[in-house]
Amino acid sequence: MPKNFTSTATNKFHGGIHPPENKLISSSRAISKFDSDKYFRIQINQSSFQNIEQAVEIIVIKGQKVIQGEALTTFQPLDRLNVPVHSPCDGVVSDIELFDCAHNSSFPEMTIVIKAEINVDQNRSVTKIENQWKAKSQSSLINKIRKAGIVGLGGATFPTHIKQSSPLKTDISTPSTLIINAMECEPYITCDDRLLRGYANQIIQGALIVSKIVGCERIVFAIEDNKPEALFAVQESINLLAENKIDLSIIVAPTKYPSGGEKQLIQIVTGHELAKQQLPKDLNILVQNVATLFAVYQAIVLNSNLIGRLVTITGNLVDAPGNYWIPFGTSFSHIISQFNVPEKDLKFIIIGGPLMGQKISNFDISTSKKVNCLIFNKRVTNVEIKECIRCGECEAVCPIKLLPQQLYWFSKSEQWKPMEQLDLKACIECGACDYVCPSHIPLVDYFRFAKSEIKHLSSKEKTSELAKQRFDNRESRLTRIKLERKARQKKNALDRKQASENKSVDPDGKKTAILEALNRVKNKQNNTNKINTGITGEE
Amino acid sequence: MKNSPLINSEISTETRSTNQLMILVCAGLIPGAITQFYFFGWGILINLILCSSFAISAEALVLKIRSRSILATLKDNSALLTGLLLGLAIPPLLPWWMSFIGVYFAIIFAKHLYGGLGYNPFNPAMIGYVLLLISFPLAMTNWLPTQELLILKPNLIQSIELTFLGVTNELNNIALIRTMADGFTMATPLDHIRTSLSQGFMLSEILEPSEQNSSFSINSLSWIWVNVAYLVGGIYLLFLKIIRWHIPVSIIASMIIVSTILSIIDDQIYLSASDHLFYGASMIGVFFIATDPVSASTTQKGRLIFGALIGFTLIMIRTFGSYPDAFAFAVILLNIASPTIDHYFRPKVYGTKTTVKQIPEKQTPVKQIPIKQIQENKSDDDFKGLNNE
Ligand code: SF4
Ligand code: SF4
Repeated sequence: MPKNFTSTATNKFHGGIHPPENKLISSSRAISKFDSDKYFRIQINQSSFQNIEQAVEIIVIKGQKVIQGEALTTFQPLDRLNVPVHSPCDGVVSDIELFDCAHNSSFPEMTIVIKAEINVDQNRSVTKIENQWKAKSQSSLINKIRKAGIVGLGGATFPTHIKQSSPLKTDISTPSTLIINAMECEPYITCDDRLLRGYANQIIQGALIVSKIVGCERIVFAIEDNKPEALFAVQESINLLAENKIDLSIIVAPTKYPSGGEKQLIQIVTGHELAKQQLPKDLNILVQNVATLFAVYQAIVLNSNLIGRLVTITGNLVDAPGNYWIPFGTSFSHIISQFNVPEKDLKFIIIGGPLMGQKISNFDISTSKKVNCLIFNKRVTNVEIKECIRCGECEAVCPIKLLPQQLYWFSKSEQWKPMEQLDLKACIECGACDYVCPSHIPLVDYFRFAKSEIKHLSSKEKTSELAKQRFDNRESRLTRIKLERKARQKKNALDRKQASENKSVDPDGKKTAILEALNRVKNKQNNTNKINTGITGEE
Repeated sequence: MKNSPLINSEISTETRSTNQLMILVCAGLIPGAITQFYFFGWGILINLILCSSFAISAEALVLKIRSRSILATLKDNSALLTGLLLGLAIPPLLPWWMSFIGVYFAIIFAKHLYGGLGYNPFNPAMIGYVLLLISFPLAMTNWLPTQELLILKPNLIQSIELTFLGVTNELNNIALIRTMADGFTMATPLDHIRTSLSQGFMLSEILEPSEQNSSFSINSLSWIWVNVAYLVGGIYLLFLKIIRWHIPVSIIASMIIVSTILSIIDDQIYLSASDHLFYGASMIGVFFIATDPVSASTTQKGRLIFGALIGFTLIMIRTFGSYPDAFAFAVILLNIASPTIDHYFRPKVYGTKTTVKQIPEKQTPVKQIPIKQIQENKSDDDFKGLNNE
């Protein structure tokens, strides 16, 4: 390895904010043991972008015994999106039911309840198949990743196998790059930081596996400068790497929110902006979060499925804030009791960071692949929402260079068209504008609402257009049939007339009789033909 | 709302609220106000107190009529700021009822008839000022000369009497005070220069310190100090990031450019850039009036244009128009234009200027991964729809 593979970022994105980080609350404690619950509630849909028609199938029944890591759902082979979920413990399926969940939609989800039989925290002996992966084919690696139930663990939960299934191209202008996203720019969250400090080797291994899968020329590890310990750990582990086949470098970026956003990260690393409709793969780039890479390592090298993750438990109501391995399906109320959170002070829990996260006041739900951080804070004084004073602060910080103030103006009067013209769709809902707004206007809420409304309207438009088309088709078909029928009648009448005329001319009637017979046959043929075509036309 | 402001309840105690912003802008006026008080006497203080209390009472009245919460809204301090700005803009010892008309018109017509804070297309203080200027041109251009030149200096009681009654026993009236000044001076330097120019004097004669116009230079020196004080307040606002640099910098730059071009053409008729910047209401206008966010342009590029056009209009009216100073006119004119400016000077949204062209769809066979399962029924549109969510 070259000595100076670490460099500081030279590119930056527009705007951005510097909210108080509040990371020390949880990052100062090493990863510690978490006493698991007896019951786990596993939602069967834990990745974003699940398609309802392609829903996963539950393959366990009530009362069935399961072992740790056993798959509870299948994924249909042709279905590109779904990933399975797995049992976090040895136990029995005690229930399969609808339960509330932490999804944005807040609809209850089909959930499998598992009652643990033996101690969950007991480590299973793992069969290490180290280095065997190098011999495996790319497609078998991807399948393995999918079977292990891996989704993007940075919070977006996009199925990882989809991202990896489009190979990067070799292009001279932009080298194919795997970017390891270790920015962790949201306040409070420290699970990636802690994961890196403890498992840097494994994460780098995971990155090597992914780089083999997508076939990239270089790996860039991107981290903010507020995590020196993690950076050091990664440098150490890169130094240890024996092989030197791939170009592995580190980019240290100044701390600024939202540098961990995919688009912003690409801008920091490469200096390029993704055009509208462009995906990272169009720039020959794949971005993966460190927790995802660790899960890849676990799946490929340790042969274990994704059944839990490192979660940051933090906030001023928690008695031992820190990062804990928490199995998926652990209920929030169990976590509340484990960390002695006084329930009377707790109005809501924040899932994810304070800027892009979600506020939950129903504690009867459980963790999933999406939950990377739980914040238990005592509610501080309510702020007052004032009118927009058009100060332009929001525009100055927007990483997408939108005009939040004008978007807000139009969304208040529900004028969706001008909002679309102002590129509402490009908004990444980072909340930077919210944060700086002196009038404390919940701008992102307005934008989310407008987005869903526009989506709804456009789908309605589509269906009504479809209906109209169908109607038009039917109309034209009916008129066509009518016209055909008329033409037929006319022709028949004409034929009849001709026939009678012929009769009168022909004295002995023989010729006429023959002609008539011929005509009849012909007419019959014509008619049957026409009827046939009429019918087929209708079909 | 389900996802209501997480941020606001968690961490945004760190960012300034609108209420704080407004009170900090008021604080920025302090150096200028003290300097004006020093040079022009009690009349300034009386104006400030009168105008701000008129403003607050007008706001409370309107809120009452519109049945809004009075206290919560008054806390945003925007009415106070309007009152203070108007109080500093009008001449000292102006009859109280004129201040009253100006302030009430500003708050009721220029602000609340448009919907209140955030909706007013014009700077309310400037609307009030222009109304007074047009209705009472004589009184509004009657600035007192600086205290040093006054033989009869009105004290606090006399100033109050003059403001409310127009006369006081010992000093009689304002006209007398003005004529009793040490030598004849027109009110403000810009006034004096304009009148002298129209009498056929050359700038070199007017501005040169000499026996005849010593009183002019004393008077103009006090105006320079007032502008310097506002400059200090403005830099404090910039430093605390209460206002952004775009508008002040672009106004000053365009004032300098335009006036320099003019003075190159004829330096005996057209004032130099430094005179323009430090006479009249230049600095309070640059930092405190034009930067009013509600009525200014909101985009960063737009603000540069907005400021540049204010500077240009200002110099044009001062030089060729019939008013000696024209900050209020320039600002109001550009307030009208600011929605249009905003429309045409939007920032380029992320992704509209791409540095990399789409990579041509040639795939090298070596790197291709045959994933049967996954690549079956694969359509590119699917992919796009997914990741763009
Ligand atoms: S939430 Fe949207 S509009 Fe606001 S700063 Fe982020 S990208 Fe810009
Ligand atoms: S930050 Fe808030 S008050 Fe300022 S322009 Fe944006 S929306 Fe309006």
